Amino acid sequence: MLTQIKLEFLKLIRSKSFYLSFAVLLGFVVLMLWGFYSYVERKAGGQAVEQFKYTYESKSYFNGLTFALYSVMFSFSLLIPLFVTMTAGSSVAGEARSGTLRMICVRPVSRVSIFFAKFLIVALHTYLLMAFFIGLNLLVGLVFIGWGNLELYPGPLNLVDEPGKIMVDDALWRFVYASFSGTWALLVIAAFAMFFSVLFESPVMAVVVTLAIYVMLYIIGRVEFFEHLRPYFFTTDMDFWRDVFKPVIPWRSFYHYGGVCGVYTFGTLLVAALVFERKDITS
Amino acid sequence: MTAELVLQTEALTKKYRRRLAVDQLSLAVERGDVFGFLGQNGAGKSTTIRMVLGLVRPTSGRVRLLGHDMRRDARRALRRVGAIVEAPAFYEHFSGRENLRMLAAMSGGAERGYIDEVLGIVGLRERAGDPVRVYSHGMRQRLGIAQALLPDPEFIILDEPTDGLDPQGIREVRDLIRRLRDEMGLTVLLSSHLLHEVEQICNRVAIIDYGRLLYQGTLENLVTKDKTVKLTVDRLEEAFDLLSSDPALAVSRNGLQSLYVKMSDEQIPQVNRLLVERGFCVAELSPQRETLEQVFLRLTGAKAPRVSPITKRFIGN
Repeated sequence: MLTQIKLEFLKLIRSKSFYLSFAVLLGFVVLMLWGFYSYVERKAGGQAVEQFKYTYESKSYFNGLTFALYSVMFSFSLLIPLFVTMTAGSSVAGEARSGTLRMICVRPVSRVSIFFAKFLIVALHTYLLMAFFIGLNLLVGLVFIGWGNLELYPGPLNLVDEPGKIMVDDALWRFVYASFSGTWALLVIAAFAMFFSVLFESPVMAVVVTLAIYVMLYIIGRVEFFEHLRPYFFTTDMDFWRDVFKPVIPWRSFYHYGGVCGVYTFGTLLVAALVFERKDITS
Repeated sequence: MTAELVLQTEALTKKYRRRLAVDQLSLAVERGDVFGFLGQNGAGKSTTIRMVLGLVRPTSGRVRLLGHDMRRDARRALRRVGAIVEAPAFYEHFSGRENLRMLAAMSGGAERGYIDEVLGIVGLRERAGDPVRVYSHGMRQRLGIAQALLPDPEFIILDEPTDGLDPQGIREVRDLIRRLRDEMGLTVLLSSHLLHEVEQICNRVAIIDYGRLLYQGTLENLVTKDKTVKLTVDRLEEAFDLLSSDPALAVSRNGLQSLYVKMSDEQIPQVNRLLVERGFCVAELSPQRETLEQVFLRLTGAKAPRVSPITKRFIGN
């Protein structure tokens, strides 16, 4: 198993898509930064600029941590899942398509260990993406704006019902927690993508089907109309990762929904591993 | 003394929904064989090879590889087996040597020196550092053979190893297979379309069609089992009618000069006597040795490629 993990790691770090995923995230942060600056200039022209600058520079409301929080929250739902799905969806189907799967499956190794080695590397990639993105946002926030306490208000993030505050030191730890809880949540999508990667011989098909299911449930889950169905969607359970940014972390529900995500992840992986073990490799 | 079987399949069957790809196939490859596995496209060769290697699950039947039951003990069986299944595929952005190192690690590891040795055997040592994406088709095939040698195998399965190669490449692979048998003492199962190649290097063959075994045994037996005798006589039409009336003989005509009669050794003098008694002048009665290609086409019921009238105009009659 260790050999398989090493080989999968080698394949990951030698693939162009690995670096492309980080490059795109970097581009996204630059875009977010430009968006914030242009918004300030447009909305707070003339005297208002001074006023905005005061709140902006006082770091009491908007600071580098707020920037990082918004950036991470917005990108978590679609941007990072896209890369996770691409890596996981092509992990088996990509090798089936290129023919290398049959080359490795005629070796004296169990298919289950090949499958789980691939999943561990997908999980590592997911964590690296999360950690890189959070770290980059914090760094950009520090350099361009500066850190301060994390002020939370009811609003677009839909995080708190009443205003709250997390002190800067604690807030930095919350970002560290988020790198883990976000990864754990994203593994649900990774597991689904790996399942479809085993099922289909085409990586594009695996990625498209996974993203279609995820996006569909994500959107439906936010429509009032389907409120009664919302608790049954895995996308709803995945939201648990955001709880680390609440002034007081609701640990009980955090563990509960984290556990539900774990059941989704490992249940799906188990089924996928069984399918892979019995699958005819005809590609 | 019974020869040791390296590969044995017993009533191996694979059904894809309604389509029967392999039907009750029982093969036996003996140690030291260079075993030719022949069949037309879609005959079930690759499916059989995939079942032998555990890539495809048989619907029924059993595979024993190096004495191990593939259903129960596949990992132990595959430890000393090297294989190319159809076109060899590699990680394109890795070099040839890196690909071999990775695949060797999955086979339990190999010394750096052994990888170089294998690269030397297939003549790729000079280009081993280049990424596989720049390799020619022939180089990929040779790298495919190199990876099959990584587990220090006793038995090597080569599925169409000369597919798409030019005559020079085909010759190189043929020489390589001979070396594998003669110098390394390997047992080789060679699936190929190129009957001429098989005829030159294999000692035993199996022919399958529609997933069914048509023949299995030595090449010698196959090409000499039924003799075709070329018969040149006067009054060819009458001779044709006379011999065709005997159900024990298969008679065919080749233009206006000769007949070709399939018969056993014992029947040759009897036919000669019959013709002479009926007043025919027998000018030639010569046994013809069928080529593997002729036997193959006869067994599989396939026709030699027809020449279209348009092509005829270009190449002449």
